[in-house]
Amino acid sequence: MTGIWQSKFVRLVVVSSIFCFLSGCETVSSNNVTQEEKKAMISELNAERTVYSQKNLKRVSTVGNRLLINVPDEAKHIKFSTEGKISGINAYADLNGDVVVTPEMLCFVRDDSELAAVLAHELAHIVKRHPLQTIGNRVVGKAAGMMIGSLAEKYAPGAGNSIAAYSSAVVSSPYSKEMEMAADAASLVYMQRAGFDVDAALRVWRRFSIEIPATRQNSIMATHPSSDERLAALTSLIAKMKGETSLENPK
Amino acid sequence: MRIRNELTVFFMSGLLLTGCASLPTNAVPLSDVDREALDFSLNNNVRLTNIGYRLVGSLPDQGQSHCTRNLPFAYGGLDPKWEAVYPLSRRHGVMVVDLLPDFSFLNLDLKRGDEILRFQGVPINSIAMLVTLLDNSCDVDWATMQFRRGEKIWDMRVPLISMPLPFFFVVTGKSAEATAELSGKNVIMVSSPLLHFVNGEDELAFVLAHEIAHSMMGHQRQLVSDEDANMANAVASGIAAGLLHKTPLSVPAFKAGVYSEKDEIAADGQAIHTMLASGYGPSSGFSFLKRVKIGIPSKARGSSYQGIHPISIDRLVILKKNLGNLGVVGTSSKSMIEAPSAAPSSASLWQRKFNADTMLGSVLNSGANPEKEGEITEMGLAEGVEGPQEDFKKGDKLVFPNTVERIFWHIRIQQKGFGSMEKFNAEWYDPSGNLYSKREFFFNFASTRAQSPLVLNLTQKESNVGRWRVRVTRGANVIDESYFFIKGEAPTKSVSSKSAVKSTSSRELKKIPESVPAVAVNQSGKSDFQNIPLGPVPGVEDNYRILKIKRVGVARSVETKDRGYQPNPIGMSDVFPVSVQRIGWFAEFTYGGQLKNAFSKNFEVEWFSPDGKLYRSESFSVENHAWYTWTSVWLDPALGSLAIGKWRVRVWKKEQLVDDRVFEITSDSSKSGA
Repeated sequence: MTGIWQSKFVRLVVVSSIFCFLSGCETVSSNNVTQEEKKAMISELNAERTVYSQKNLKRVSTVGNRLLINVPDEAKHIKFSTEGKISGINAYADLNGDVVVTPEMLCFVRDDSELAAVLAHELAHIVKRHPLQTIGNRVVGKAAGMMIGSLAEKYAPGAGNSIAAYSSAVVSSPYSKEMEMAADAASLVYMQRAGFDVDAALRVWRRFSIEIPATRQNSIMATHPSSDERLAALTSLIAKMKGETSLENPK
Repeated sequence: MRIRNELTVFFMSGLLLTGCASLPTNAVPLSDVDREALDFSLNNNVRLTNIGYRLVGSLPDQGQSHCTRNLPFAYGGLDPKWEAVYPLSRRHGVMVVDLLPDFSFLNLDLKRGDEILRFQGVPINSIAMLVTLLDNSCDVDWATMQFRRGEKIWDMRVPLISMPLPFFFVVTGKSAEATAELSGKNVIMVSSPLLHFVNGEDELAFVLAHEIAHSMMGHQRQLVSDEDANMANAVASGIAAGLLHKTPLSVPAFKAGVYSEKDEIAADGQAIHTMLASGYGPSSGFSFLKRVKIGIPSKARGSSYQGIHPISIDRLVILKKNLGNLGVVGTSSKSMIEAPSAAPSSASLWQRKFNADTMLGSVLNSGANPEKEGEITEMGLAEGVEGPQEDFKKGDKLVFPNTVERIFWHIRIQQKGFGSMEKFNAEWYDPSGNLYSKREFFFNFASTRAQSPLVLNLTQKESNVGRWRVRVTRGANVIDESYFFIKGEAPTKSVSSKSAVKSTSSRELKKIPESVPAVAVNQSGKSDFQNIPLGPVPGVEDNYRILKIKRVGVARSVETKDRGYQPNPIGMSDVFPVSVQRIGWFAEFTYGGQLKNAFSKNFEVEWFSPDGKLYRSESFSVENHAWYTWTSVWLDPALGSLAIGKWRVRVWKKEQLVDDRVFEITSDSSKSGA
């Protein structure tokens, strides 16, 4: 027996087995899930993710590209995406200047016209360079956040980073009410030119306001405040548009 | 208009909590958006509560220590600022929000905005008071409540729901995140965006069942990192306080953040069992989690669904395996059949909807029904639908014995439903997939209910066994497409002479009063009860007093009146013409005579034909808060002259004889009044 243990090969096999066992070479997880089962599930998810993403992207791109036909040339390069880092019912312009729509928003809109209203609104922000105009806010916000964070770190060790991020978000407020209303006005034009039902804009923002009342207040929770004032302005604009024969040749 | 963003609608649907709509400041008139926000909030609280009650109602009984009662309607206390919409006289009154769809059969004369004034004579000033009174009502099944609607004040007896555990379900509109979480021990909050993200009621049921499971299992949310812990510490202690007093923050972190993977897996496991038991399709939980995993960015932490309920690959694998063990994913036909057997015996009360995975029940999502969604209040299959008002369904279920002669597809709509004399088509497909029967039927303008029967050929009982499909259409629209099962197991007692012998078993020797003669067949082939006078068999009346039966008899049908509290027997008599197709036995209980734990099929009825043989025997249940019960027998036209003579019906509650009476079927029209 001692002779066998003295064999280098045997010792190597035994030690390797123990090492392998201890270091996670096992094929079954603590949850009793095998690597094969995990791989199968990942494959299943990947396959479904591909279908899900393609379906969403196709829907958004179809509506978005229809809107792009009638926007100013400098905005025609804009792309649409459904995969970002933000969750919730939302749409926004990302760092590349492209429009991102969350899957939750795609569930929220009832038809393509409502989706067009959301996309047209974001396009309008980009065309009007609102993201650039709010960069100043963001820089100030970041700086203020860092200051508050470092102060907080002094009195609450470890909390500085989190508090800095929170403070930054508070200070860098979203688009102003004026920006939102300007974007609304432009979005209606884009929608009408692309042949979408402009009433959908009022429908979707009104429902947003009804179902998520928190957004009716300008706060850090409301990236797109849907105040009563904004809804009233939309109503007025739509009524005016319907009274005109053509946007290109207003009365 | 200035808008305050705060919790303002204190709502309680079975119990209350938070509200969803923002409110205008004082003295500012409500806008249309405000009103719609309130309606959205209230309607969805009712929707969640209905699903939640069904889930909680299927949980195992937790014993008397957890006894709790609730009302069959949603109720809440609104902020006084909503008085412009619901003019409650008190600034902190409690109002009826809505009847729960599952309890619509009670026909309670209540509507949104009715104020609850008293409960068992005690004035109600707050929701807390009402909840306390309900918690102390374990020993009663009914409560006398007082309501006010405008100038009208009235008292009404309301049946109380027995709930194994108290849970409260609330929609919140405070976040654009599609999420759900357990607040405290028993308040389940669902964000309004999640209502759009879920694909149908089954997925929403999974979300609620999962949170219920977290609560039942005592799971605690854990902080995910030191950074989060410090943030939590800072917030909990108050940053400002720390800065002002220059005191290092050192309070322990409050419990926030995420559940552990182990807890999530355990909650999923419990949730799918709860769903199965309450009639929801458990595999929808798997599809929901996969869609969240795919659709909502995993980096989105905080209050997002994934932020609170991390979805790991292990979790999905285990859920899928558990579903397979339950026989609801990729199963064989055997497990499809077995799936509903796990359902509780309360199936007769809860309107059951299964999705396609369970392979029984409706395969149409509610959203897929183009027929005026929201106006259909009830739809399903039953062994019988009784009375002109058809308020009582007998044996509402999805699995039938192969001794059943008729199975009804039935529908009930609200008052402004389909137009008068609307034409429907019902197609019944047998287990082989062949069209077994096709019938047209009509919606009578005077009724809110319609039904169509499948008449089965009982000479081919064995070939009837299997999964059937019924498809109901109105024009080009499919109203319903449901699967149900006819099983082949032997009935409790078969329709044979052997059973007649059994009727003289030791059971009746023990319990039947000595003055009541037993059933026996005499030498002439006629039963010896032919000589007993029509009506109750002498001596049995004593049982009525013991069982608190107010009225009992046989009739052609039974409808209800006075808001469903009183049965109104149609054609009640001891003599029926030979043309009669169906005869029913009914009993009305006096107050306090309702039968507890009545979901179990603890009643049995025996119908003896004139030859003394047991013609039909079956079990039937009395609903928990029933004020009357009703069972019937269909007479086979093939009986012909054999049906003429004296019949006897005998009803048991377990071992206790409830009623025993003789009636007659006659060809003499003058005698029967036909």
